[in-house]
Amino acid sequence: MERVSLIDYMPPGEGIRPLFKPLPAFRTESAETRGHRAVAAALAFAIAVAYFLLVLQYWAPAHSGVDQNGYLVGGKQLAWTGSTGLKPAEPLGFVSSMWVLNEKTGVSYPKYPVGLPLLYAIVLWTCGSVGPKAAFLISPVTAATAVLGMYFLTRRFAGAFASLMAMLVMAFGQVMLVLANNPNSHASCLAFCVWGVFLLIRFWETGTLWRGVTAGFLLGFAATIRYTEGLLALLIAFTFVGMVDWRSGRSWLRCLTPTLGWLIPVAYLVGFNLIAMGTITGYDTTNESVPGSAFTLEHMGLNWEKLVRQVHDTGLFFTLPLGLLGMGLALRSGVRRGTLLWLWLVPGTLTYMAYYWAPERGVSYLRFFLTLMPPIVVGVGVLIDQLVSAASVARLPRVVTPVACGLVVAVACSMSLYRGLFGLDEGQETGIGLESQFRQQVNLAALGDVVTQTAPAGSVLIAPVQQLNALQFIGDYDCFSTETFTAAYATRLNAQKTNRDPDDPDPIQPARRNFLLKQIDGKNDDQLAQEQIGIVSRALSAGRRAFILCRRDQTAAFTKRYEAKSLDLTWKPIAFYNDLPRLQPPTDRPPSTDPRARGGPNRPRPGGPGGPGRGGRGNFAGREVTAQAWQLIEIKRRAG
Amino acid sequence: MDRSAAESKLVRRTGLVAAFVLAVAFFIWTQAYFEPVHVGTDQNGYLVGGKQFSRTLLPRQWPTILGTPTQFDPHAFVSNMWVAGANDKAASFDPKYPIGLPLLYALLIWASAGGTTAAFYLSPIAMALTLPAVFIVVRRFSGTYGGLLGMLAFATSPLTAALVNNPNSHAVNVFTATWGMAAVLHWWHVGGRRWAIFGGLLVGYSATVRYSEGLLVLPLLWAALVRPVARRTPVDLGMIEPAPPWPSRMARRWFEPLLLLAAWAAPVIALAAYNLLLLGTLTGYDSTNESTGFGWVYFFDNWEALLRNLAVGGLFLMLPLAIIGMVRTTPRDPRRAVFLLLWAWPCLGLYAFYYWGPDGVGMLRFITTSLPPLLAFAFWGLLPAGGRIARPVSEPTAPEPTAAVPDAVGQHSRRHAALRVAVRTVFVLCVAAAAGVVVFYSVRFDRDKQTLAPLQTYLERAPTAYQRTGATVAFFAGIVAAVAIAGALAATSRRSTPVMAAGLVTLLSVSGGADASRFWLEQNAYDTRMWQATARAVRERVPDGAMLVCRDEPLLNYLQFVTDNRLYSGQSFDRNWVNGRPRALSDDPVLMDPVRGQRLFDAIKGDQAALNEQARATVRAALSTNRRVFVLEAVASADPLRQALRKKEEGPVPDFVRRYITGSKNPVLVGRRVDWWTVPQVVKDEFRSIPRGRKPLNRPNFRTTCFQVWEITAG
Repeated sequence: MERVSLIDYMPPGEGIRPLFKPLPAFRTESAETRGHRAVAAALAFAIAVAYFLLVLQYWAPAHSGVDQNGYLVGGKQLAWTGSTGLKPAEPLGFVSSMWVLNEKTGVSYPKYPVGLPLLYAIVLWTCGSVGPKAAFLISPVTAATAVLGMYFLTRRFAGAFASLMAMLVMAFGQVMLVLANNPNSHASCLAFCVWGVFLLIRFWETGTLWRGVTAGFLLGFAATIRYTEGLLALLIAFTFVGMVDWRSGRSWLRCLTPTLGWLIPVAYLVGFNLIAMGTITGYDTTNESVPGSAFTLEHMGLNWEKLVRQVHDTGLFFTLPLGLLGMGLALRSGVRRGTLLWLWLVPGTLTYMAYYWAPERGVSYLRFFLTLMPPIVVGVGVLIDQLVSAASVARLPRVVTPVACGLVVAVACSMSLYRGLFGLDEGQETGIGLESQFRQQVNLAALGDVVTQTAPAGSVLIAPVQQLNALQFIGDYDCFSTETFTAAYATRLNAQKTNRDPDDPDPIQPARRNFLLKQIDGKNDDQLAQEQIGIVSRALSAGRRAFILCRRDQTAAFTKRYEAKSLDLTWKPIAFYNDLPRLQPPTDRPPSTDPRARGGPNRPRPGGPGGPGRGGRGNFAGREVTAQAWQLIEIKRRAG
Repeated sequence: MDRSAAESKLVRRTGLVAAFVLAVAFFIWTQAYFEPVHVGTDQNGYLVGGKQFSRTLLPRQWPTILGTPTQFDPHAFVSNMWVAGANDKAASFDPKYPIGLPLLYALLIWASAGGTTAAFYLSPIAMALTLPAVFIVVRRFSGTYGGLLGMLAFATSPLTAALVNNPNSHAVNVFTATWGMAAVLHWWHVGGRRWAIFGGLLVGYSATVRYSEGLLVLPLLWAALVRPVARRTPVDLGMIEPAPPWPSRMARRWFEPLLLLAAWAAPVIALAAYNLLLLGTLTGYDSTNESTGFGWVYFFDNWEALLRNLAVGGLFLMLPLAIIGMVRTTPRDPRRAVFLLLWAWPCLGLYAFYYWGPDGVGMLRFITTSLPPLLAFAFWGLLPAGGRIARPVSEPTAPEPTAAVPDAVGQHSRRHAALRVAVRTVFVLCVAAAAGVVVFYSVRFDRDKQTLAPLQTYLERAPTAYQRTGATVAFFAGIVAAVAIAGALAATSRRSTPVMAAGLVTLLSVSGGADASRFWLEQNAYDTRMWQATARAVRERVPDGAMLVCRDEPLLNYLQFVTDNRLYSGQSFDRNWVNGRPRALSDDPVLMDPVRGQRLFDAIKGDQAALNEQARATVRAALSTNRRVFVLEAVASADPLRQALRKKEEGPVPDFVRRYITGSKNPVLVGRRVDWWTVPQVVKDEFRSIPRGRKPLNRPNFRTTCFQVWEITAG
C-alpha cells in the first residue's frame, strides 16, 4: 500500500500524528495478484479502445443540433477571439436559439458554460486545418475515456471482474451510446466527473497532493461544462470533513487541495460569465436557473415516476435496481466510501427531478442524468463483486455465479445496444438511433464539404437553420437563416412572447426574442425579402460572394426573389449534393381513441400483431425511403 | 430449508394476519374503481359461456330463427371468440376458452338465483385473495419480511391493477395457480395427503382456466420426484418417523406424490374429455390454429417487448433482482430453485414464441402466473434469510462468542433479534403506508362514486394535481421513513444492510408501481362507467326479451350477458361485410374461427336484395313471436339530431331502419324514434403525440356520443 510512504509526520515534540485520516480500505488487493490486476487493466484498456472504435463506426464530423451549435460555435469564437461572444455584422445575422444576448454590449453568448467551448478551442488551436473535424472527436474520445475511468473507479469498490462488468454496463447503456458521438456536453462532462471522483477517492486513500489538485480541477472543470456538476463540490466537502485532522493546520492545507483545484476552473467560469454576460450563469436571463421557477417541488411531484421509469427502462435497463442494491451494500462495507456514491447520486437526481425541462422522451431527458449514472453502475459492480465473493466457497457456485452475473450484464448490454442502434424508445423507433443519427450527420458533413469547397470564406450564406447550425461551425461565413426572412417567423416569435409568463423559465432568452422582433416585427414577406436582398447586395458591393443553400424542391421559393427585373441580381446553382437515402420508420398506426378496442389497453407496435406490418427491425417493408437533394446557389450581379 | 420455519409462531401469525389485512385493503382500493360491467369480446366468451352453462349445462349458443326451434339463424349476434362446434356444424357455437372459468361463473349465477352481477366480483375477489398466497409462497423462501414485501410488489404491479377488475381469466388463473403452488410447497415441507390433493387440484384447475397453465405440471412433477429424496436429508430425517420395511417404505414414499399428480390430472383429463366430446378437438383453439401459433419468427418480434414489459410493467424494478436471486439461490438450494424455475419460465418462454404479442398488458397478462415465483426468487436472493451476501474478505469479523458467557450472549442475541424483527416490521409498515397514501388519494378521488349521476359529473373529476401530490407525498414519506429505518437497522445490526437495501428497492418498486397502477384502474373505471351508463340507458328503454339491432359489438358483448334480448349486429345483412369475413383455413393462426365465416357465407349467400328480405323476415319473425323490435344506433354527435328536432323534422335515421325497413318498396314495417340521449365519451390519449407525452394518461373528452333508439312495428 502506498499509504505508508505518503504519511507525513508532525515536527518532533508534538508526537507522531498523521496529516489526514485515510479512507479505510474497501477490500484488500492482496486477493488479486499483480498479474491478475495487470491483465484486468489491459482488458479494460482493450474494451475502452474497442468501444471507441465501435462508436467511431457511427461518427461523422457534423451535427445539426441547436445545443451543439452553442458549444461548437462558442468554441470557435473562443479560439479566434478569446471569448465565446458572437456579434454578427448584420442585425439579422444568424445566432442560434441557445445563445443569450448581453443587451448592454449587443454581443450574444452561448448560455452554456465555457468549459466545453474551451476544449473545442484547444482542438482548433492545436489541430490547424483539420480542427473543425477533429473537434467532433472530443465526445467519442471522452466517452471511451469515461468508460475506462469507470473501470478504475469501480476498482475502488470492487474486484477486477465486477469492475469490468460495470464498465460494460456503463459503455453500452442506451443513453451513453447515443451521446458518445454527440458533440454536446454530456460525454466530456462524464469523463471529467468519473476521473475526478476516482482521483478524489485515491486522494483520500493516499493523501497525495497532485491527486488532490487534479481531482479538484477535474471536478471543477466538469462544473464548467455543465453547471449542475457544481454539486460534486459536496463530495469534495465530504472528503475534506472525512480526512482532515481538525487540530492540525498542515492537515487543513493538505485536505484543502481538491478545493483549491476545484476553484481554479470555477473561478474562471464565474469570472467569465460576470464579465461577458453580467450574470453568474448563462441561464439567469432565461429564468432556467431560478429556484422556484425552473426548479420547484411541483416539478418533482410530476417527474419522479417518469424519472424512475425511464432510468429503469432506457437509462440503465435491467441494472438500476441492482445498482441501488449495490450502493446499499457499499454502505455496509464502508460507510464513508458508500456515502460518496450516495452524495454523488442523490443531490443531482433531486435537482433534475425538480427541473422544469423534463420531456417524456427517453434519451432527451435522461441525458441530464448521464453523469449521475456512474454511482449506480458502481453499485452494480459492488453487487456483482459481493455475489462472486459469497459464491467463492463452494465449487459449483464459484463457476456458476460469475457466468450468471455475466449473463445478466449481457442481457442489459445487448438490449441497450439493440435499442441504441435503432433508437427504440418504448418499442417505437425514433430518429435518435445510432444508425439514423449517423446517416443524418454523414449527409450534413458531406454537404458541409460541398459548401466549404465551393463557397470561399467570408461569403454570405443563407441556409435553413438545421444546416446552418453545423455550417456556422464548419465554415467561416456570414450566416443568415432562411426562416428569419419570413413573416411566419415573426408570428411565431410573437406567439411565444405572448404565451409565456416572463417569470417562467424559457429556453429562448426573451431579450434575444425581443431583439429579433424589433428587426422583423410588422414586416410582410416582401419587405423581409427586400431585407435579404439588401444584405446580399451589400455583400456583393463589398466584393464578397453570396450563396443560398436550399433543397432543390424549394429552390423557387428563394430564387424568385432575385429574378425581378428591377434588380441587377441573378442566380445560378453551382454545387449539388444528394443525401444518402433515408429509411423512415413505418408510420405508427394512428392512436386508437376507441376505448372499446379489443383486448383492453394494448398498444400496436411495428412488426407485431396488431401493429402495422410484421417483420421487425431490418425489414424495410412499409418504410418510406426519402432522399433530399440540395443545391448551392450563387447570387451574382447581372453581367453588363 | 423452509426459511419461515425458523421464525417464531408469533411472527408467522402476525405476518399472515398482516397479509390478509393488506389483501382487504387492496380489495377496498380496487373496488373504488369497480363497476360490474365489461364489453370485451374475450370477457363475452367467459361470461356468456357461464350463463349458458348455468341454463343448459353447456357453454354453448344455438342461435335459431325466432319461432323455429331448429333452423339456424346466421344473423344472430355471436361474439368473435366463439368457435363453431365440430360435432354440430349446423347451428352451435362454443367459447374457444376452456370450461374452468365459465363453470365458476355458472356457479355464481346459480348461487345468486340467476343474477349476473355476482360474476363480476369473481376477479376482484380472486385477485385480492391471491395476495396472501403470494405472501405464503414468498415467505417460504425469504421469511415473513420478504413475504410481505413480495406481496406488496405483486399488489402494486401495474399488471395486477390492469387485471383485477377484468372478468377475464387471469385473476382466477393466478389465484388457483398461486394457492395451488402454496399448497404444494406446504406439502413438500410437511407432507400430508390433504395438501397433495388440494395443491394438485388447484393447479390442475388453473389449466382448465387457461390451457397454457398445463405447463405447471412441470414443477409438480419435480416436486413429486424430488421430495422423497429431500426427506432423506439430515434436516428432514429428524422430522420423520423411523423408516418402515421396504414395501411399505416405497409405498409411503411414492403414494403422496402420485396422489398429487392424480389430483392435478383429474380436472385436466375432465377438460380434455369435455373438449373432445363437444368440440371434437383437444382445445378450443385448434380450429383457429392458435394452439400451434408458436415459432421463432414470433420470438424475434416479441423478445424485446416481452422483456421490456416484464421489467417495467410487470415487475417494476424487481425482475433484475429476481434474476440475481436465481443466480444466488440455484447453486445453493437447487431442488427448491428448480421448482420455482419450472413454475416461472416455461410459461414465459412459451409466450415469447406466441404469435399474439401486442405491446403492453395485452402481452404481459399471459404470464401473470410467473410473477409470484419471480418475486420469490427476488426476495430469496435478497434477504439474509435466503443466505447473507458475504462480507468482503478484508473486513474484520466479529469474534465468536466464547463458551464462558453463553447466557449473556444468548440474551444479547435474543434482544437484537427481537429488535430486528420489530424494526423490520415497522419498515414493512412504512412501505405499506407509502403505498397506502397513494391508495388514499386514489380512493379520495373516487370516493363518491355512488353519486355519479349524471356521468358527466364523474368524468369532470379528472385526475388532478392533488393526486399527483398524493403520490409524491407518498413517495417522499416512504423515502424518509426508509432512511430513518435504515438508520435504526444500521444501529441494530450491520448485517441488516441487505434488508434496508431490499426495502428501499421494493419501496421504489411499490411507489412507482402504485402510481402506474392507478392509471390502469382509472382507465378501467372510465371505460366501465361509460359503458354502464350506456347499458343502463338501453335497458331502461328496451325491455328484456325484445329483439335489439345494434352495430356496437362491444355493447352487445355486455348486453348478451346481462339481458335476454335477441341481439343482432345487423352487419350480416350487408353482403360486403359478409364477403369480408375470414373463411379460408390456412396454417396461420387467426383470432376468429374461419369455419364461422364459411358457415355464415354458406347460410346467407345471395344478392343484397335477398339479404334485405332476410332482414325484414327476421324482424317479422320477432314481431310474430310477440317480441318488440328495437334498433340502437350511436352517432358521434347529437347536433344534427337536435337541429332536426328543433325544426320538427325526423332527423337522422339508423342505417338498419333506412336500408331494410323504410327503404323497402312495399313497406309493411314502420320505424319510429323512441328516445335519444348522450353519453360523455372517454378518450385514452396514452399514445398521443409521439414522441412527447407518452406517459399513459386518462383524459375524459367531453364530446358526447349520441344514442338513439328506434322501435320497429308492423305497418
